[in-house]
Amino acid sequence: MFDSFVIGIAGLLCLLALIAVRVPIAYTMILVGIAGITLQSGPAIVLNQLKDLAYAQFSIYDLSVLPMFILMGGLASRCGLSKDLFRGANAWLGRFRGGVAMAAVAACGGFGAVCGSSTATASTMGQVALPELKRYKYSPSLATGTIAAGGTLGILIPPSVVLIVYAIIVEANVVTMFAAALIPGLLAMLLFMLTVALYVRIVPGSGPQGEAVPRGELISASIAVVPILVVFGIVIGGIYAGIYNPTAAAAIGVFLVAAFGLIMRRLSIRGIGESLLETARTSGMIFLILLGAELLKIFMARAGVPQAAAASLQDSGLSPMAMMFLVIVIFLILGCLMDSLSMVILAIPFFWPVVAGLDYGLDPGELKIWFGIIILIVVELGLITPPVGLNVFIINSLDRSVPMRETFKGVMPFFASEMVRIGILLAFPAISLFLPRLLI
Amino acid sequence: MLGGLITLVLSIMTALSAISNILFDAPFAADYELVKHFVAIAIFMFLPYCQLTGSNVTVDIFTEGMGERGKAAMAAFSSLFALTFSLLLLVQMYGGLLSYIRYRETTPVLGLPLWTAFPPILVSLALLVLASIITLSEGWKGFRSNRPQPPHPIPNE
Amino acid sequence: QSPEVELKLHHFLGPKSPAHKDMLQPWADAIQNESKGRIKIELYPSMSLGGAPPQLFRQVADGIVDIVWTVNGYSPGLFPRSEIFELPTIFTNDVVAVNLAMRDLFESHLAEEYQDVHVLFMHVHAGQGLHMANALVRTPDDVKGKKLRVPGPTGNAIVEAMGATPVTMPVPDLPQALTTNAVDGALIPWEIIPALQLQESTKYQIEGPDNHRFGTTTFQVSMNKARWESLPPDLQEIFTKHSGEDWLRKVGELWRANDDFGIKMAVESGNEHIVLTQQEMDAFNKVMAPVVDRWISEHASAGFNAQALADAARKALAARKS
Ligand code: NA
Ligand code: NA
Repeated sequence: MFDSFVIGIAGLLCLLALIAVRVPIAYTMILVGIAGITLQSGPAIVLNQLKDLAYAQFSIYDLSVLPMFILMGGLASRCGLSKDLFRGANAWLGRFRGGVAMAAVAACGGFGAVCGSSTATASTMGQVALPELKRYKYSPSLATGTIAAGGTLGILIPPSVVLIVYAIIVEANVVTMFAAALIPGLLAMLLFMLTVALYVRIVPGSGPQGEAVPRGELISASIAVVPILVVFGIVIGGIYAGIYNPTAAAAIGVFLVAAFGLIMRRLSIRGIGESLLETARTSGMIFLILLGAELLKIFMARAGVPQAAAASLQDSGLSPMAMMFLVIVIFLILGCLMDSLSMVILAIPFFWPVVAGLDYGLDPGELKIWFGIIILIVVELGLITPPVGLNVFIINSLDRSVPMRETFKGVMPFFASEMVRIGILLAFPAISLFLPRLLI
Repeated sequence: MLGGLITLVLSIMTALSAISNILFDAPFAADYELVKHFVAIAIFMFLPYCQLTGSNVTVDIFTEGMGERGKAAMAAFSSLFALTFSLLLLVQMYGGLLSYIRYRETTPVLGLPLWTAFPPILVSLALLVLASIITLSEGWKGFRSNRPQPPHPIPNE
Repeated sequence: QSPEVELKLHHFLGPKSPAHKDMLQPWADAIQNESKGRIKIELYPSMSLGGAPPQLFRQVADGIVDIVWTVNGYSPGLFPRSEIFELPTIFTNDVVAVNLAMRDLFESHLAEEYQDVHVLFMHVHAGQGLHMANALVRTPDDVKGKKLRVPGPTGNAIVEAMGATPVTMPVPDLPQALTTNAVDGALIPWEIIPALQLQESTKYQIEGPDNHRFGTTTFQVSMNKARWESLPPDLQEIFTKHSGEDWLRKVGELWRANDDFGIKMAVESGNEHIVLTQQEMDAFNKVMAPVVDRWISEHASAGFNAQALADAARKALAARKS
């Protein structure tokens, strides 16, 4: 009827306009999708499709892990696991220059191993580590920047909600994606610690030395970390070993964390209730966005937008790597404005087919994995880039005395380290593919 | 209303975990289809609570400088969307129920008819309609009285 | 000139799958060419028009899309009659014969369950083979207690009859499940081997003599009823012509060829292709025969004469034997 490009661009403009006036992203996508399909193919089609589209979208087996991992993370936050982790890491690292900040990074990584969410990791670890960093007179921008950046380890280290959603969109295997994310996630943790070490040497006085702990404390602090390692081992290890699928693993994880919390008397019934409510809120929001994305996808497919976009990109003569850079830059820009999940749900259906059509010397399955890991890093950066950086907002809400500008400044070195990591992972796909290749 | 909703969610969650736990000991062929069936129902139950607590993510960047009145107006505007959509979905999914009763599709192992998912889903959608009316009226009141809007909770992701 | 009718064909496989590029695309092309551009059929692979594969039939029945290609077993309960052609010992190895027999029995026995659509053609794949990760299988006893991934409701019955445990999972998850021993094997055709690189996660491919298999899966290509009735008779004629006996033979050969390609690939990479002796296959048929009896008794009150349909199916298959 109309030129595909005109329709596609008009649709995207409407989308942006509605998002700009603070309509929830999910409803924006739903509205533009429904209106678009109606204009394109008449109202009967979209009305008929609504009879069971939402049911079909929500009745997906792989999606059942989402609420369960969210619940597991919520319970873990309320169990005080973060305190143990920080104590354990600090006992080992605290004595070095910048050591308390390094300990905070390590603890974030450890917490990320049981929690699938970045913002939950940032807020949980922030509550524990920020007061300590303050006590040791760390510069406010390093202290808050470390936690904001460290929080992103929540989604970089599996389990990861964003990764599950990516896997569902591109029809990749969740287990493989989790396996692929592990080494890059640990690399991120290492680079973040390195960043802290460099930072405190370049900016004198920003991260003073802590005191060495007595041997007794070292041992007892290390022992306190064991439950977390056990949970991670059983949940994620069990998935890798193929003992059970992610859904079963998540269910077991929920059970383990709740049992630990109840037995150690750290978890109240009220805490469980709060975790459940949080799970309801977060999952409801994610699934509604997924429904919106499906409607938007139908609209765009009917208008011929993906086909036209793919054709024009093929004509553009961009090399595969140039294309990858372009995609990364677009995601970084989107990341300044949007949250990571909306970004993945909204943009991956457009970009994955384009990338899938290019030759990176990988088979389609491996390309899916490698691209997913790169995208995971890029969208996660959106959590710490201005003006909309959710992790920074969270840290700011925990400690109002540090202006947000300081935190954004403190985050920049970590941003640079992530750029280095993207470079490494782009140059060596084998880092991301090593574990998945072992699995198959 | 919320209490009932949450207990339901809770029981579904535990049921899911229990089923999954059975799975890794002795394979249970119907696990797959039951999880699919119940996860869909549970998600629909989350939606009204999401609407009430304003949990749906928005992008605030362009509107940060706006006054409380403006924000209230926009909240009301969004609630209007939610209301329209939930009404539309309620009506259409009732049609879906009829279609699934007519074409009696079942789960592969247990032969559980799929239409059984629809009645609880329709109840949840009716609650979503109600929740949207509540948030709409709150937004409208806020617009009239220039009262500050409750802040958005920060989503977990 | 711009086409008189534009039709959207929706299905669940990717644009590079053999079903898309070797069956649906050539079929659409032939119809478009014969109509001299009056008909245009646009293919939408990978569920790009929304929903999940089980919704395809409802989509075409409701007119959300114009044509679908779908697996009947994806929406259990909707096509009880057609299931008969999926059962082991009814389907053995003759793909072309089943394609033709379903056509022969369509008006008299099957049409009832396709009321809101116009079925253009129905077909099957080359039949389920047994893929095993580590265990060599020669007798029904060898599969007893094993976990096998099943393709759909009729597959459940087959696996249970063998004394194994059926496991349902999406096809893409299969390689992982095999390597991690979440399942011990799977019932699917050889045709799927290249797409999933199954030679890497399995050691053995097992079938009977002369491609004798363990049941099959039925597919349909259907158009929305109202849409079909709105077509001028001469255009309807073009569709009918290109979906007739010749085409069904060609479809049968095509699925057979893709199946051969798959097993060749597995063997070349070092897998063992086990062809059971007639005696060994008889032992399997003996445990699988009750599947048909069970199907008949389960459909005793399904609104049709299941015994008569089973007899008719056997007779039609014998008549079309190639
Ligand atoms: Na994580
Ligand atoms: Na940002």
